[in-house]
Amino acid sequence: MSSPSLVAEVADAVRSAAKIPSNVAITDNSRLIDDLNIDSLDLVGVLLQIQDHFDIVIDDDAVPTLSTVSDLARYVAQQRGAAAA
Amino acid sequence: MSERIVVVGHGAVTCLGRGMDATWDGLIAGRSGIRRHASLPAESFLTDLAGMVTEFGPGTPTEDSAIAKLSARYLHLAMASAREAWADSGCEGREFDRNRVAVVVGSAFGGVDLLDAEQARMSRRKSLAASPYLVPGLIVNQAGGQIAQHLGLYGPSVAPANACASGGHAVALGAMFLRSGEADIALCGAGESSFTPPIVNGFATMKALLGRKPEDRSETDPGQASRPFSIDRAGFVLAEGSGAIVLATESAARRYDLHIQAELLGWAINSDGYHMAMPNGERIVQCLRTALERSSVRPGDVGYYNAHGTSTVVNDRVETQAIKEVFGDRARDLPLSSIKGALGHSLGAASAIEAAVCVRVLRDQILPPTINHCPDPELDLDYIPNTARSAPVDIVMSASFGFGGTNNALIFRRWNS
Repeated sequence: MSSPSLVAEVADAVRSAAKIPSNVAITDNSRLIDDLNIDSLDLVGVLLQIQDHFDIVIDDDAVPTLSTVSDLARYVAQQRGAAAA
Repeated sequence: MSERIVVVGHGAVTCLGRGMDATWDGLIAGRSGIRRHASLPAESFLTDLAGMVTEFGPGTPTEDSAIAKLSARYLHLAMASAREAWADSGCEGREFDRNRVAVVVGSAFGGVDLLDAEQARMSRRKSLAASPYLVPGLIVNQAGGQIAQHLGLYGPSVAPANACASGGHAVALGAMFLRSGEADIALCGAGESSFTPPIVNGFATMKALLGRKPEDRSETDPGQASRPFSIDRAGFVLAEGSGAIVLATESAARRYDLHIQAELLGWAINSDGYHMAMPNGERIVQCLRTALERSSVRPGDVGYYNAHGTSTVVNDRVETQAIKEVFGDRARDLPLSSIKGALGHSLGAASAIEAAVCVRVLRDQILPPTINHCPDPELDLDYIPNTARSAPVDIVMSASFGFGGTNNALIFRRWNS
């Protein structure tokens, strides 16, 4: 499980990239497409923002597994762990 | 007889203000919107003189949230003046056929600031992955696309990219849609913001922009950098901005009970077929004459001429000579001015702003001045130097000329005059 601060940081990145209004809550369980109404173009923008912000590379094969904010946070944590290892 | 085409709304966003009223008030007061800008540092830009719209656009509190994903400034500028003109038209409260509203919004360069930012990001990240918003934000027709999307307008849409004549071309093309019967209403305009090092420095190395010289009067007062028709004019000052007007057929304006502000009597567009960047006086004369003939207006009937007047040595000389040839004995009695002295040159947007200003001229019966004017013996017309002038005016003409050898002229008449 990812730390609450990392989830919040990912949520902020998602909000910034997809220009999600401040009155729309983003939680760790928020589904990017179904709950946040992020379309396929926005999803690419979100993933790019996550890569830039956390200085990681998201593998194309991993993208289908990243459907929620917590999925993204977990992936970021894994990549950071791999980089630190 | 063709149906009359009327103006029912107008708007502008310029370095003098984020709306038509502020722009007009500044013009009439003889103020300049030209400043030196820290956002144009010397390590990247050959000049920091510019006409910028401050506290506006992506990333600011005034950001238009509807188009926030697309951070190209030209889009936000075009959208702002389009919203203003559309609100001014009163269309929104009426029942009208949205399939018969054309959107004709141009730009010279489109979203090049977004391209510049994205290239920097990719370089910084050492990544080949580009933002998915880059291509949509870069293309010139996206301004019209976003306006159509967010105002709900579904008629024909085109985006003239005709350099410094784009906005005037947009007005003429919109009128053509009305005259051909393809639309009842046309939202026409242009937006521009192209402050990237290659473009600013490209204009500078062409010697089109005012360069820095210790004795230049802009060194002590940046507001005096743009000085059309003056003896010491030495290049234009790059600006950003947007302008828009809403045209309608007279029958549509009456059907929807819209407030008619002016009539677009006629227009002309032609090509120099001459040079990539130098104007051709002969073709400009032809363009002005064609607009007059199509409008059934005699040269002596024109009460005000809004000049292209870029403040370059060549343009202002060629345009003055063209006016003399077209207007003959009446040229010296024709009040004319270039508002680029106050606003700088916003390239594609300039002539859309100038069209909106012409509507204000007819409404308020005030002629905006050419500010910073110091007489040039070679240029001996009435440039309305430095101070606005009240004058009865029924017919105004606005002309613009673009790189690539493309010209337009628009003729407006006071409604019910």
